[in-house]
Amino acid sequence: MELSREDIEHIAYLVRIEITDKEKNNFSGQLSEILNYVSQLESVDTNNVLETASVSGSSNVFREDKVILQDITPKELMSNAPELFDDYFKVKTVLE
Amino acid sequence: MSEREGLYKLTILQAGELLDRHEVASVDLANACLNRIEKKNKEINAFITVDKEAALESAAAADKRIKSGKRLGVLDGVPLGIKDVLSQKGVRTTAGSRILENYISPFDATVVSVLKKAGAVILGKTNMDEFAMGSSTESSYFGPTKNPWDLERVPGGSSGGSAAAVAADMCLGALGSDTGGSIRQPAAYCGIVGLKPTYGAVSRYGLLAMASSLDQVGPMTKDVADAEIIFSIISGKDSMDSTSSNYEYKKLDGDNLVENLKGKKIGIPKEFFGLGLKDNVRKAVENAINDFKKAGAEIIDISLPHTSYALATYYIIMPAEVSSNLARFDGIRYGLSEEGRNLIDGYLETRAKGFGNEVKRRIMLGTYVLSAGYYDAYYKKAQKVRTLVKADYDRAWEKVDVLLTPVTPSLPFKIGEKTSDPLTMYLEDVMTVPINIAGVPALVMPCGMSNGLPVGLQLIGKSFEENKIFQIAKGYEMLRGKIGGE
Repeated sequence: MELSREDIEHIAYLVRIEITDKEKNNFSGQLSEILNYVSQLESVDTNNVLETASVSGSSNVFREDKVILQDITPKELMSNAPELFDDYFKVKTVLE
Repeated sequence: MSEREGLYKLTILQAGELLDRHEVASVDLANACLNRIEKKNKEINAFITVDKEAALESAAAADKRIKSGKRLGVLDGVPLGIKDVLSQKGVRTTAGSRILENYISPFDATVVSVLKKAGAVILGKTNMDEFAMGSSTESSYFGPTKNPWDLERVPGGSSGGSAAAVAADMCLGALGSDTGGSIRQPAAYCGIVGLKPTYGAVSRYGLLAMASSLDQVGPMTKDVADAEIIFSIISGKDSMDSTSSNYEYKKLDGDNLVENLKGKKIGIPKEFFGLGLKDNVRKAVENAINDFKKAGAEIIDISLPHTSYALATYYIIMPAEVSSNLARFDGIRYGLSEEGRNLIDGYLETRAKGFGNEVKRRIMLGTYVLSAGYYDAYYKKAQKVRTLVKADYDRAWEKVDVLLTPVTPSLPFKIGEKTSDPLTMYLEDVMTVPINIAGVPALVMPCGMSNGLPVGLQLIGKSFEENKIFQIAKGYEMLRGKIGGE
């Protein structure tokens, strides 16, 4: 599997990471090499094998829909925000 | 102990005995470690953040309790290090990344609050590969950690800071995290003990998530008994982590530790003795197998036929989970934030500047293998092979108590040796990754020296049978005696 510079450009945009031309070249070579390595799984017979969704075998874990107050204030929780407006996180215009 | 300075050499158990007998104070222990950090951290770079004041304050509080005969337990007053991927309230928690360079956690991870409640003195946060992605601690935004045995070599990773800090006596023990070997490989490279617990045995609440179906928190210590002490305290159900299991650790006793090895069935999976294993590592591990045999253990040849596929499985499942977990770093709620012309540009620039190369590679790879058209070929296929890898282990427990393997194919490598080629670095994990894929516990401990560098062995057990691993490991530790310089 070869990932071209254009593929890399597309994936980088999907994951919201701006990349330089040099990075496009590097990542294209490196990710292609990794994909070639993992493609060895094609040779494993997995007919009639189920996927492992949870290695511990646990399934849905439920709890009561009850608010349990923690020893922390909303103000503390938001203390790392780059920009706040009153008690809200401030973001740039979404719809222009 | 008349020399207060040498206190940093103590194990947790030894320090506890001295504290109980009022022969040393917790403040003395903390000061001995803090002085050691001051002296050694410049060259080793094991700690990203040291909180001297808070450490001395909690040590003084421990001394007060101990003086009035109210010591909380074996960890009360004992100075520890915490991998900087675990949240600690009011303390900078970086995960080794620029994107969290100035992030102050507003809450404690469950394991951190459990250690605090047990009276442990937290010295600071240890260095690591960025977001725990790496096998050398070289991808840390805060510079590489050096191996205390040879400063030109890596300490392993991603918990390289915790491993180096324990090996260089900067703390009595530490916590690490292990997604594909991040506790065990650095433990082997630095000549200490490390445990990757059973998936679900320890809460991950407050652990900055890397790959949630694989991540576990575990102890890194100077000897096996200390690892058992920390594990017995941090393990168990936590309502804040729905993947944690109802599990109470029960120590297996036995007065004569070496005698415990008699009749134990030790499986040797032949596949682990391929995988590019170098002769010097092979020799040390084979010597250990002979020691087990002489002590009366039964050595049984085992085959785990899907071992060689575990690494490829890992490098699909792990990046897939990484790409999802790291989507939260958007520069809006916390962390580095680049202005950008509009919302999208803000994301693009924040994540470009905030993440290092290895993190970017894994996010991109993970998004690719999850994308429409490739999901079945990569992700679904890997989840099926995971079932086969796990089944290999399930079958092994019908025949053996534990499995014994090498930890890494070779000795600690030089700093810079593997940074240019990601795949070469990934191959470092070939003997540790299968254990996370199967979800079982594994302990690493030193078994010899080669060219002045430590060699480790790995004891793998059945899920939730950490007690059996510890019992066997303590027996071997006694049999083996001291290793290396000290």
